[in-house]
Amino acid sequence: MSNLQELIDADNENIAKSRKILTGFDPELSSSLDTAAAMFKTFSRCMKGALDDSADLADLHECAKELGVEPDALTTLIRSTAQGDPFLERARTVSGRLIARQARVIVFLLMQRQYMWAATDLLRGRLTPVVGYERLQAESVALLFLMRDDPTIGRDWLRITTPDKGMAFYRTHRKSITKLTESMGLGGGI
Amino acid sequence: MGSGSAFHVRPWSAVQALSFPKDSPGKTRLYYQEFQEDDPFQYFLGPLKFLGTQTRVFQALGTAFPEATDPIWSERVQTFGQTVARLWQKLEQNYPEPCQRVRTMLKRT
Repeated sequence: MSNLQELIDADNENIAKSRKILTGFDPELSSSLDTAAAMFKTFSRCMKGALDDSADLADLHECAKELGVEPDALTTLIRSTAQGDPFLERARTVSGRLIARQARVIVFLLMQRQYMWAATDLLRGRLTPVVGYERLQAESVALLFLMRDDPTIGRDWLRITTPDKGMAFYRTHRKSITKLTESMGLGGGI
Repeated sequence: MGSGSAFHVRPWSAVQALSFPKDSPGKTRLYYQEFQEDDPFQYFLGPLKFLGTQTRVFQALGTAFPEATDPIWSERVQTFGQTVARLWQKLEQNYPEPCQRVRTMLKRT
């Protein structure tokens, strides 16, 4: 058997063992890990109803019609330096809102995944990566707050396509992120 | 500590799984698994700290997404927080001295 397969087998055994030990302390210590996973799903459903794109998409469609362009060409027009047309400005605002919403949804999904990875590592008996995931969760929460208050931050975050851009983004928002995580009692994760 | 221990090479990352076996002097072992069955307090502390973080994350989510106003969410966050608080209380009752040590350590950092 390969070394990797040995570890994989040990992981599987450890999950069952961890469940048993945690349940032995209190059944809710083990089941709360599942409850938290289910809560991320619940919040996802709450968001689905609240963060509806349909009104903004219809608005963009109307702007495209008024500007006499196809919806695909509207994106190019929004990104251009053209100015002066109220429908173009309206399209820019709506598009910015859509992009920011998309960024917030992605950050939430990342948080959910960070939780799932952390909880399963925890059951495998790995604590160090869990601390790392908690740190990522803390940063994600702070980003969600920043994106909620300033949609351009969501847009800038989505435009991070290189490590240099990522570093520049982090440098710009580092202080705000730290301040927010500390105010929410999540500073230990940073 | 989170970033330092999990994303950088730090002694803290090794402490929980490091072993210097008495029967093999000079040998250093680093286990893949960081829980020690002979130290149940540490075994329970890790998951509880993690669940405590999730309580704060859930509380923050409602504020981060003011559009998502489903009352079921605040109810569930409250229930979850109460469960985690009860589990902490139980840990304090069952392991008062180690809990005190952790509190002292956290005050120092």
